[in-house]
Amino acid sequence: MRLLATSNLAIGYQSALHKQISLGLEEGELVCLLGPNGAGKSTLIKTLFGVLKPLGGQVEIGQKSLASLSPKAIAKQVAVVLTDRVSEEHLRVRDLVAMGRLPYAGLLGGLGEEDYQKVDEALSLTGVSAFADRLVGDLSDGERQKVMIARALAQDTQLIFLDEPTAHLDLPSKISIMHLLRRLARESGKAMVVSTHDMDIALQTADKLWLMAKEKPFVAGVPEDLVIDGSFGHYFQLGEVVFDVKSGSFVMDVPKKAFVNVQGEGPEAIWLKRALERNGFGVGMSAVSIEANERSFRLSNGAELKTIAEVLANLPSLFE
Amino acid sequence: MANRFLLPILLLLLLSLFLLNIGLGTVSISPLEVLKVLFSEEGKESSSAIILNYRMPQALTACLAGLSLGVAGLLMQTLFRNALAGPSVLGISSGASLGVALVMLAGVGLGHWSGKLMVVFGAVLGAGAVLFFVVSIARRVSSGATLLIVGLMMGYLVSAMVSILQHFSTKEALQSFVFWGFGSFSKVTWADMPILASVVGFGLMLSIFLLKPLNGLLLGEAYARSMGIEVNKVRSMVILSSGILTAVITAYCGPIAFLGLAVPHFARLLIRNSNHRILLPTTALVGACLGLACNLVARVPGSSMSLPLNAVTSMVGAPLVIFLVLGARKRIQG
Repeated sequence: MRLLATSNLAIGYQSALHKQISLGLEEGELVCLLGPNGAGKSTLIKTLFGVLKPLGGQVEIGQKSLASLSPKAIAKQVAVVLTDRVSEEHLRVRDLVAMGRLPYAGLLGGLGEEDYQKVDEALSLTGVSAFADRLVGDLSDGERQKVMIARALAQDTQLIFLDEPTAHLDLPSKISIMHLLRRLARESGKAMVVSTHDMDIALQTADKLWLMAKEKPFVAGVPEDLVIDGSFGHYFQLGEVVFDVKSGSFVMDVPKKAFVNVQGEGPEAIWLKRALERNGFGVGMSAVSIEANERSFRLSNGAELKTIAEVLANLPSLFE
Repeated sequence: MANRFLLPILLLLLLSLFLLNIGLGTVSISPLEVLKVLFSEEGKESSSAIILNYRMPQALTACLAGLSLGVAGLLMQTLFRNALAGPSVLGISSGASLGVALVMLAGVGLGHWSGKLMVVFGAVLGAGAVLFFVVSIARRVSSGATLLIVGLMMGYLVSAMVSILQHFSTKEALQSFVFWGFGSFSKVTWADMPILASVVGFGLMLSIFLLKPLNGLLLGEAYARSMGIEVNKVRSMVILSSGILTAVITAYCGPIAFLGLAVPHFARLLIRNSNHRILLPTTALVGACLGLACNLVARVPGSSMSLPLNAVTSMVGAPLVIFLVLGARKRIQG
């Protein structure tokens, strides 16, 4: 089922940053919104949940126009995780997550049995039940982000928008958060939009990518399609940094010093190639060759070396 | 949890402070005598006159003032997400001062009842004018920080006008204005009490309907919006509620310093919980207690002198806040 759609949407503050954005979001889909800083990712997210008015066009949530919905009705359809840091010290995790129930609470903010059940559910789905009674101020950044996701889950909406939820986290926490989101989307049928700078992780986890960049049209598609048709590289090209379609990563596009022929299949060969490329050598047909075996490297001059460090040190002598 | 015992402890504290306020003063009245006057007809006539005409309304005023300013301060601190915000940040008490300064410059003294009424009227009008201005700005600006700056600037502007008025006023008028500025809980009589109490009641009622959005605002305005809270509307309501509470207390008691800033901090550190459904009633109770305590100290029981209330509220409040905040930091870091 289509949960979110826009037609000819124009977004921005005074002047339009982007025009003609047409996008759609299906049940259970995890979308990563990628783009350089200043591309308008936060602006798009804010427009999609009604905090910013569109400069043109339409946003539809659950087949209804966003403009026709009351703030409370929107809050029952869309929950968000924002970049705003929660600075409140004396707030317990459980109370923070329970705030997700505000759109359903009575006039004085009282919660009922069902609300507490949703809160417990959200706590356990995100794996933060163990520290439900701790103060938010005592949490690590990664834990805190999971708690903010739990709050969004407790809001019991079909859509969740997350603005850079993995910024400032270490790599394992980033991956853990993205996998959590992916699992939640799959299991609950919620649709999620995650803006991020982590392209590697986005390529690994997203069902779809939305690409944004200044002065370039909005593009949506399956990650692999966008890689193959060159859109992905095109959106992030920055001077000498280019996207290498074969390796799926960004590399410095600098002229090669020389070429080395690497033989072998194992991890030794793979990591040797990376080390060579990082040092400005191309891997390809060449008189200079290195045979990568298990735990050893045989150079074309017959030397037998144990580590890549030794290979790199001996490399210049091969070209003399 | 300690929270279970907190309510009875606070209520007990409030009651004892109330009785102490009634019993202690220039003339000390024994607790037994106090109870006799309050609950039977047997008390001595002299004690009963002091208690019923003088100390009872004063103690009630101290309660109402502490409670109102505490709640007003809490509302401002949550709205602006700023621990240093208090009831005075939006210039509302400065507005009241301007109104009072205008009345007193016109030569109205505090001696006669009509003069007192004029002073209250001036304060309400001054505070109301600033309140109206700030609320109308609040509807237009989208950021709380902008509003805070506008409010602070309003305060400076109005204070400057007061200074100019003071500069041109007579010595007598200046003196009575300075005395008004010291703050006092003793000017409220039984005749004033129904008005004061009902305005405070109205302000509190407004704040109770704000419990839910205030909790949402703890996460910031953007999150509050995402949870269906109409931030601009709520902001105006919060300012109105806080402004009414501040204005009425300033009108009857003068600009009371510090209570509004300090009380929410005590309450938070006592219960370590920012949920307004618990925090707001705790703040109200702590405020009433602190109001009574300050009144007691200002009276210097057993002596014939008294201290300016504003000096006492700051001298009692500031060290306590420093002590509590340092203690809390240690707990969090340790």
